[in-house]
Amino acid sequence: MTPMEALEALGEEDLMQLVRTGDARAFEVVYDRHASAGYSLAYRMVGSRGGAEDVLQEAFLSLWRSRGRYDPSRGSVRMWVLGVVRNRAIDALRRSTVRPHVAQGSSDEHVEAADRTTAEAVRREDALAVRAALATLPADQGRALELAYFGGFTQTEIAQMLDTPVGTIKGRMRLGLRKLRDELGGAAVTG
Amino acid sequence: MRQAADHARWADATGAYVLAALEPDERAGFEAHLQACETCAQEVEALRPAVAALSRSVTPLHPPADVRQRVMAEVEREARLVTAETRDVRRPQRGRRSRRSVWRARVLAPAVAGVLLIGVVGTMAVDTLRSDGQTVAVEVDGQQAPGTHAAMILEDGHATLRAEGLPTPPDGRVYQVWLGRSDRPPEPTSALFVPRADGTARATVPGPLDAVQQVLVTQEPRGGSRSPSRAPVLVASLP
Repeated sequence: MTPMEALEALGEEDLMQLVRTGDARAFEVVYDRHASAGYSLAYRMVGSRGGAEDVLQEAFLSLWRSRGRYDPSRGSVRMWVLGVVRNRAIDALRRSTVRPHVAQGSSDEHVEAADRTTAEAVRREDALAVRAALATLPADQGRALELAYFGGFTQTEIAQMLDTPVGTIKGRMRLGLRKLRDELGGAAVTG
Repeated sequence: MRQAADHARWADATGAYVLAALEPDERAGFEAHLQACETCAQEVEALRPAVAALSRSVTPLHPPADVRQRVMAEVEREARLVTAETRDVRRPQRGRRSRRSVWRARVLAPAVAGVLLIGVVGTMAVDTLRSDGQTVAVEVDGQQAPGTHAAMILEDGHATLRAEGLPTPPDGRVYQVWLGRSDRPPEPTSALFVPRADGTARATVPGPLDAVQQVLVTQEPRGGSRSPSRAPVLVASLP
């Protein structure tokens, strides 16, 4: 087994221990495991390849630099990565003068990943299942979730955009998430 | 289940909270409420998987390989600086954790073979650094220091600057470390240094770093200045 293969075989916790010590090779494995998920989310949020690439690069450098702060009790490495990607994407959206409207599940066919592995096929299936669950939500709840999560808008901004009281928007987010969780049942817990 | 007295006011905010859609002041208010309200704390935990599911709903895409190359090139540069720091600090201080908070003033002899050090006088956190610190990116002025890479390594509120490829200042000048706080001119420190002959440099930033937003390095006359006489060569912005 090569040293890189040994790293690739490590579980998240052991890998993160090495990353914490400043091990670049261990961080490379973290990148390989989570960059696609990060890029997919960034692309969904900023809507362009160049923008998503910048967000991904900034996010991973930020993850590397804050490696000492990763706390496994607060969630998986995947969620840590996606949280930082999302924050960077929101920063990018706020920096740009025109914020793109949140597209509905858009994707550019040219960069869409082919299923190279079984894991990728599973991810694609999972994405379809979540989208099917999202489609069962009342439209106004789904819209509130989309604008908040992918658009990075605050509840006040969403209320203004939709000309709806903030209290109503709050309620839609809460109900929408509850329904989404119920629709997905146990499947949603793996995130 | 324990429910806070102000529960009715906050009960609907759980969804917006896990979606990070609350305004900062409302977020702070809700977090204070969460401390006292088990009902809301449980609901927040119950809603998190739904937020995780949103992240999984996107079409899977592969990022181009050059992003990986750019990220890893920078990570490797910074990892070298972290490794150098760990090696230098760990060697004499291993197993002396109880003295981590001890600060010592130290004068490094300039006569070390092959090492050009002009009077590095400063307080050094000798027992503070572990290898699991954070790294802060350092902006380098390309005009004054072309080809220089630098990082600042943070541990327990102490910071050390590390650089590679830092030019030797002209005769009679040294690099000086400054602390930048908002609305105040940079505060001079006693940390003065010059790079070694191979262009590497290390400077411990005298702490504490409370309220410090930036650590700056300028070229100054030997002995240091009370206010910066030139634009900074290095700027590290603290998170």
